[in-house]
Amino acid sequence: MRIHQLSFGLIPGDAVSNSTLAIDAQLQAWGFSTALYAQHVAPQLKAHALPDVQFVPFLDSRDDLLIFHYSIYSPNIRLFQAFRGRKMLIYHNITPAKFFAGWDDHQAALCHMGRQALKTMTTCELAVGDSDFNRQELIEAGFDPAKTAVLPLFLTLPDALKNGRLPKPLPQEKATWLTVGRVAPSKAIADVLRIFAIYKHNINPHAELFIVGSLNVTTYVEALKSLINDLSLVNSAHLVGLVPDSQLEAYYRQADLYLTTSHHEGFCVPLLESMVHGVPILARQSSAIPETLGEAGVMFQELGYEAVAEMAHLLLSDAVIRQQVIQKQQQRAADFNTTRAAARLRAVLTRLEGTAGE
Amino acid sequence: MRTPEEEAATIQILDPAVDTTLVHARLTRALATRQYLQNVSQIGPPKLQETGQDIPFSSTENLNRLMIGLLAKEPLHEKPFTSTVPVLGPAIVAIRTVWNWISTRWYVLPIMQQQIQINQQMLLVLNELAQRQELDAQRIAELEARLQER
Repeated sequence: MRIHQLSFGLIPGDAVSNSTLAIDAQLQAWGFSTALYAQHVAPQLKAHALPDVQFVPFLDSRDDLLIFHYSIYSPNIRLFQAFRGRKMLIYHNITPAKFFAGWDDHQAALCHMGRQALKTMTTCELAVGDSDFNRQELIEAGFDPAKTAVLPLFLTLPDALKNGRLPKPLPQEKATWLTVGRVAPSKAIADVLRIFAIYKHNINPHAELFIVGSLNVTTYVEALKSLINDLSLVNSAHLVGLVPDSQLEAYYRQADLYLTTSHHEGFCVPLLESMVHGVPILARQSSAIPETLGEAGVMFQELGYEAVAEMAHLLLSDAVIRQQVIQKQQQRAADFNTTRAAARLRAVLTRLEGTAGE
Repeated sequence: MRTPEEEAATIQILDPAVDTTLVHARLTRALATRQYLQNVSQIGPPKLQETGQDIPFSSTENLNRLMIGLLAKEPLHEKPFTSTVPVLGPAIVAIRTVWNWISTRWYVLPIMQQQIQINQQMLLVLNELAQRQELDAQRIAELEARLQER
């Protein structure tokens, strides 16, 4: 069986792209013949993938399997719809358009179209979500519940305990906060800044915050810069932008606390990255975040800026609570390690082998 | 307005190894005693206070919105020359106007007229398509409703 993977883009540092590449490597290790296709292939990854139009000759290959990664509207959904072999959709979730309204109308339209188009993709042998939160959205869009499953994002993460990423001690004086992900309205970065401002101005004046992720929603980024100025955080809150994986690793290594206030996550890879790097997590209880955290990390429900800042202080100053939280996180990270992820992928493929294409 | 206890209770730790009662007690104490320097919730651009609102995104509504935007655009028209140069300004404007009349106006004006006509025709076509789209959307909604009844 030949296995094709198709996606909107293949871009370094992007979670869906990393997952696509990791699945491809695993499939090849199992001896499958594989190929990757995407509408946008970054120059650095041209050796790994082909333009999506090159999948057209395979549309009638009934013995083949197509894995389609869906995370934003793309015209290449037509290829998925037209394929006559076995099809599996991996739904990585699409941010609801409302979060981009008034900030980036083009992005809002793409998100809206992406969610609408999901309803036209229900004809497939299996549709999986990275989380049960995503799986429920598939069912709401009209997918047969019996043909859905959960397949947590397949990533080759470093093993938390085998790679010397031991739990970090308490920060001495300077506390480094980190948040990672696209700087977009759905992530509510303004809340991160406000919580950090309370901590910085009332508890620890030596604290620093790094916001790492794409800055392409420029209207939102400008508003955040204005907020940073108004909160007197110009020298301590840094909008870093998108960085290569090696640099991202360095940010996790120096971080003492990970904070996310995101309203919408289909899985939230940075939580996993924080777990394996031994960084305690403080997260808004929203969308798929509770599912990814399990019993690990610390969550907040209705946001009280002072309460979250005080909890951050506890995680940064109480050695016992800090170690307990980090330990539980590293246990949780093991649920997503490569061995378990590979077993889950194998189970999904076995399930697909019992089906037939059109 | 929540009490310090209620504020502390918004923090959730599911790990049974952590003494959450103790955590909540410490948070409550800190929230009750610390004098916070500023109320951060109202700081920054007002738009950052908003959470996302659902937007009307049915294809026809969006199309209609775009059509209204297009119709509101002014048609192409000539812009008179201006100059901010003191004293010599009016002379510069007069020379540029005359030179434009001699050299390019006779050539550009007919093209502008053609473009205005094309734009008007395109607007009519788009308007027609938008209306058809609206009718199709209505028909689809009716058919879906009939399918649901079956």
